[in-house]
Amino acid sequence: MAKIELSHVSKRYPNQALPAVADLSLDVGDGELLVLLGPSGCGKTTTLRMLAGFERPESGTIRIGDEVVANGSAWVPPERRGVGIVFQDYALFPHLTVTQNVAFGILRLPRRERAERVAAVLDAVNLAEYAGRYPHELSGGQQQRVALARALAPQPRVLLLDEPFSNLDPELRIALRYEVRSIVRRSGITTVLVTHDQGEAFALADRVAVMHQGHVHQLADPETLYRRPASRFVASFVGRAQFITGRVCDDQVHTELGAFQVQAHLPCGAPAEALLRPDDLHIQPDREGAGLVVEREFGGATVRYGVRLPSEHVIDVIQPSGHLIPLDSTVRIEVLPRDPVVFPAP
Amino acid sequence: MSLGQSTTVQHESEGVRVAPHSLRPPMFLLLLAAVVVVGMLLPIAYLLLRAVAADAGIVQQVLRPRTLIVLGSTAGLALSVTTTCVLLGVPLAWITIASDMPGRRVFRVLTALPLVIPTYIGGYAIVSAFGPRGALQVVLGRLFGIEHLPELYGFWGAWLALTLFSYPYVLLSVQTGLRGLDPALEEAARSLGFGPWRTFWRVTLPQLRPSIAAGGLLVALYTLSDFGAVSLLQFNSFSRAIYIQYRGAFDRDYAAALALVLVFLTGLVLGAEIWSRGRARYHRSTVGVVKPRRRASLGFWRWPAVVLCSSVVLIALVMPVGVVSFWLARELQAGEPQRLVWSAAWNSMYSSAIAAGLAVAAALPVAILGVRFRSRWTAMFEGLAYAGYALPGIVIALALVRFASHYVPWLYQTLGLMVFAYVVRFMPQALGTVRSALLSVSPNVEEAARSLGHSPLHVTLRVTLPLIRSGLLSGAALVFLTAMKELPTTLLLGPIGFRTLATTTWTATAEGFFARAAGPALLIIIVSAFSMVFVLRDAWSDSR
Repeated sequence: MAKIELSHVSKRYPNQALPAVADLSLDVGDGELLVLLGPSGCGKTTTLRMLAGFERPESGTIRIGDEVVANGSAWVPPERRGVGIVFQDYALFPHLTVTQNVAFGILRLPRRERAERVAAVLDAVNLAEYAGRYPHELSGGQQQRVALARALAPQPRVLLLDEPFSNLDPELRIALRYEVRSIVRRSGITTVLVTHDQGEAFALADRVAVMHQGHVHQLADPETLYRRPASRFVASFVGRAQFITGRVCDDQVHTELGAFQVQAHLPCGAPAEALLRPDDLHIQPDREGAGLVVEREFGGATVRYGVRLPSEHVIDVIQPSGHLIPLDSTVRIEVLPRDPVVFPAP
Repeated sequence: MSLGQSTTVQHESEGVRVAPHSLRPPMFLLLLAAVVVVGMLLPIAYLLLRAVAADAGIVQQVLRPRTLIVLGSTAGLALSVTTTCVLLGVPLAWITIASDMPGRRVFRVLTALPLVIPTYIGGYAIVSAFGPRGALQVVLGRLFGIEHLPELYGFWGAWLALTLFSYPYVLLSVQTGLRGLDPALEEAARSLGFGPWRTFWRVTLPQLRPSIAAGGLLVALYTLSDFGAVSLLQFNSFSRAIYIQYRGAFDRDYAAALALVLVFLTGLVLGAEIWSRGRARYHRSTVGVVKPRRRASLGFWRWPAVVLCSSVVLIALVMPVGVVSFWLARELQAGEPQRLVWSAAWNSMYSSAIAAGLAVAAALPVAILGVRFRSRWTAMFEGLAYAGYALPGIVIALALVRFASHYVPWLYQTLGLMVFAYVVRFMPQALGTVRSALLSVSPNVEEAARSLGHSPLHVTLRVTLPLIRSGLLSGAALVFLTAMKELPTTLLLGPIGFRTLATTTWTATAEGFFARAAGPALLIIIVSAFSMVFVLRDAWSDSR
């Protein structure tokens, strides 16, 4: 178990104009589960590979525990980092059985101890009865769990997961997500997971680092990310973001849905936008209301309404499907949070 | 260096800090690959250096009228053989792939099989069947008292032999092209009002141009480097002229000069091939078209098609095998002892086996570097390692003879030098298969092994090598089978008295002892037939 510390880490690939990772600093606490979230090409996988020792940063320092594993002069190769990794394609050794795969990282242990450890981790991932099979004889979800067991067997200081669920079908993905989380929690190991799936990040993470173009835009727990995004990029990448425009006066932005407090200082008369998520809004039928329901999409537990405002702007509202509001109803719109995030207009 | 030795080299450097994949390649890998590349380049580099260092006399030698005559006849032979191979190979490819000719699957295999007959055996079959004292003349003489047949030696004989035994290069290449063709293009042409013939000429053939060019250029290269057919049928092309100069020992500088001109000619053809390949990518249609092609209905024409295929198979496959069998039967009837054949077979086997093992060991570092540590430099390394492939065997052999006799006389006429020449010549074949085997192994698997605490060397031995084992084996098999057939290298570099199946066949034929050549020739045909398993692996399937 160990904490991880990246400070001012940069990495540029040859023949690429922009760095893959630019001056990135990040701390992961002991036993924490941190998710690196971002669109493809944001540098999250490069960061993971630098932690594993498959890429060497050009500058900056990486510490695992108290050990400097990479900086200008020091360099610890992957095999001496005590880092377990689970790849997107699992990367199981096709020529070895499940047992041999899991034992691959603990060949130095005495035979008895090795067998016990293999049995224990296979048990932890519920694969004890598949010990003698070859990877191609397993389903995708089973292969994934073997990969996890293999990474955990040497009892690494740090566990790295690179898009571990992306090759699974959606139902299995969710089931396995909870299973992996409970396994990781029980082992208490410091974990970094890379994903581009916001739902996955929220479901698993203690904290999420949202990355874009090699930078960390925000590092926070899921709720803060969702409610108080630090940038428009984070707001749009994490959940559905809609912005309602208005003008600033007296530290408030005045919009057609009301006036909201402006956190940063903006000059009077400047255009600004308040972030309103579909679930930040509530509508109720009201003859005097300003909104008109123009779209309705039944989604089971929730319904999404498209509501046209007097400005012709259509905003999304999501609420429970208990009381359905018919199309073409006139509705009153209520903004639930008292202080939505306000950004200066771009 | 053998596989075992190369592992010890790796062992010594195990303590060295080794960078992972996307970083600098490990030192031991670079060193091994560098040794291999230097070895591959040694013959041609030596030849060029000698030429540069030689006095101005070499220019005069090259420009002798005699050289220009040889140049003209070699180029003429290459051109005419290539032309006839295209004229034969394209229709055969179309009939066997795209038509509904009965028996097309059988003919698909049979028409490709003449490739297993080395030209010196083909030449032997032609000479011993149609030449003076040959089978046909024996029969005709007995029946009709005919004593003379039309002259077979020279251009026409060489042209016939080379066409018959190298047209499959065009055939196979065009067949592959036809398989990759999107049938929708032809259907589109038909729907736009083109008849079947106009569709073929205006749509299909232009699409096939890159495959035709690639196959044709292979034939041209093959003709330039051929030694067997031209020497047995006594056509004075470069290979034969070089050999005669060398054997006669009149003027070895002149032999080297001739070799240089041949290298130049080869370079021209290669340049053309690279140019055509660059275009081929441009022309290529989408890979993996699932939609099966609708076969063209030949109607009445399927019978002429069957006749064409049968005659080609009869002349290029049944005739040589039949002739060799005929002579073997006569030899066995005469009760000649075959002991010599077995010792030659043993020599062929073990020298080829050593060459195969070494070639794979040499290919491995170059392939790992090129695949796992891709950069401009490693790509250049890989490219240079192919040098031996492009050079005619006689040129490599001559260069090594001269190199060894100048600098390492104790190596001259040893098995070691001959095997080295085999490796230079055939390692690229192993490189191809090792490379594609490596490409099929995800680098993630190796990285997973590293993060589980294993050193790069350990990962190579325990993960990579077991995963590419079948690639290594088929690479070794290819080199083994090709080395078995190799003639000029063995003739020039073999130790004194070292006879292989190839040299036995060639010597006996050249001296007119046709029966004596039959045993080794048949053995070579049988062994090389195995190599076709690699080529024809998917020819049998009818779906694509």
